[in-house]
Amino acid sequence: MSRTFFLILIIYALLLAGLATLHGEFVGLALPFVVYLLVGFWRAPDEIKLDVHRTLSTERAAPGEDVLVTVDVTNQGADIEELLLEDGCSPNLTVSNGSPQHLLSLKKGESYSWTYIVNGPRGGYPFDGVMVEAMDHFGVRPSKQQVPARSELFVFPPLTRLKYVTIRTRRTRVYSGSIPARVGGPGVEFFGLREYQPGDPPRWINWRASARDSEILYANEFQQERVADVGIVLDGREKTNWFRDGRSLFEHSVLAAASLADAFLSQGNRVGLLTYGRYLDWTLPAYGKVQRERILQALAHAQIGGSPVFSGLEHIPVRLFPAHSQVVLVSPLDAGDLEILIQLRARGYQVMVISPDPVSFEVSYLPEKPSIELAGRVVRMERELLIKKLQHAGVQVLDWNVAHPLDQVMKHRLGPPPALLRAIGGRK
Amino acid sequence: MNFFAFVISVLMGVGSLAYVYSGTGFDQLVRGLLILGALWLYAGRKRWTWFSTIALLLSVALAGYGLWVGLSPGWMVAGAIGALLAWDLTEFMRRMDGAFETDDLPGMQRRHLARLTVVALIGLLLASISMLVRLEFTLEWMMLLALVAVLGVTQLVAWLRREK
Repeated sequence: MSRTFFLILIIYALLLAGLATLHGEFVGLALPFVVYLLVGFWRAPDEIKLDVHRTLSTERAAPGEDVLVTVDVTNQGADIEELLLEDGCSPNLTVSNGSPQHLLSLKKGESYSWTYIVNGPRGGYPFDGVMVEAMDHFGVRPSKQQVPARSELFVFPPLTRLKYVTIRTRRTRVYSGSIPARVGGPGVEFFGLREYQPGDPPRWINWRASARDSEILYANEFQQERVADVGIVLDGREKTNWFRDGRSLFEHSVLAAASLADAFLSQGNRVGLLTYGRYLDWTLPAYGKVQRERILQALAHAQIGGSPVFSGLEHIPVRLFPAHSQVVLVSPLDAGDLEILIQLRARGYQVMVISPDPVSFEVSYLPEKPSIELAGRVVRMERELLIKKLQHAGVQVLDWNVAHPLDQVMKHRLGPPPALLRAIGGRK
Repeated sequence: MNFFAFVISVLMGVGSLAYVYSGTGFDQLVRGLLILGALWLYAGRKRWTWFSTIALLLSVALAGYGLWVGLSPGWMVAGAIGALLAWDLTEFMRRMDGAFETDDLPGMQRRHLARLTVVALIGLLLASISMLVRLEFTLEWMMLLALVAVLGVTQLVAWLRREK
């Protein structure tokens, strides 16, 4: 019940009591309430006319990084005696200094500015507007509205710079890049010999091969290096990511997906992202820095989902990935995923699995008991068997113990081969 | 400062009523009023605005009853005004809780209390005048009051519909 309504009820009750009992004193008793109500209405603000402007010190922050929020409010309407301003910052953000809420008096044309500092975990945090509540002297006629002032803070996942990630797709795109295209032409690595043609640089001539034939001059051919299509699939299924006591591997998976996307885009590839879990969140493949921003925004919003529809990987929309492209699955893996990954491989995709190791992760925080150690060994053997089966099917698997930094593991397993191996045509 | 004013208001409201009723044999009622006052003070500290609303209703009802049974009207008006101030200050304290430490709280409290005092004085003055004049409920007065009541109810209904 509003305060005005309550006061009016009291006033009428007293008037009616006066009428019923024929006592004039009841009218006198009602008078202080009438005066109170009238003064309140007399000084009530008619309309709230506020200009609100909000600025963030940065719109893209790292988890836990402090962001300074500055809110400027200017009163374009009449004087407001009591103005409660509450900036609509997300409850998931932590206010480490200052306050998003202030109470003040604001005269006509006057401005007020305040700052506060927030930080938070990975996510997208929209600031919808500023909730404004204007009061008269006695709060009998409050006026509440939301003044729009949209901005958004993205807390991106932490990013590990991966210098180089070796992939070999069966089909590449036309632009030059860093992935061997299995096609002769200009490049760095030796590919084969062909007859010298006018226009070829003289340093391409293979004198040793040409010396064996008096008629034909041979020229070296190099392997062309081009860009490729890469589809990153981030596994956000609850059954593979959640563990006891609310622990999760998902943040590690997000870190890996972000780092891989950054590395692939830096190499000039066309990269798309599919977050698979609660629903299918597809970021269309594209090149460059804008795409990096899109993917990081999608990863900022990525969450674990327990949808029964997506409990298996069979609903991955394969048609989204161009034929013979590279598919990178970031997932702790489940025994049921084997068949789907083999099917993907059979369709001609180059499949790479970056798998945060759930066994080491879970064992690391469980108490040291013989029974747990035995269970850990059994589960580890099952996982090793699953990985072996995948590798036999031609799936490249990186088993990542999350206790070790991703960049070191990637450099060891997926980095460029040493110069000696490259010289003799060896691969990792 | 606010809470101090609130305590004074509760004491004024409940105390005035209890004082008048104590001399007239309503001992149970006086005890009830004292308990109400204690609870009101506790509720004010806890910012239970709903309790203030109930306490104001009870105080006004008791003031009205006092008038009906012919107790001193001055004390009854003082009791009702004290209850009104306490009700206002409970809500004001709750609103002030939304402020941050750097806001100009002392200034706002000072201005609010000054206005409240002025309103209370005007209300007390008008009520006193009406009591002194000793309005007799003649037929003309009754008709006028009935007309005001009908107009008021019409306005109230229109306002509520607009609010919806």
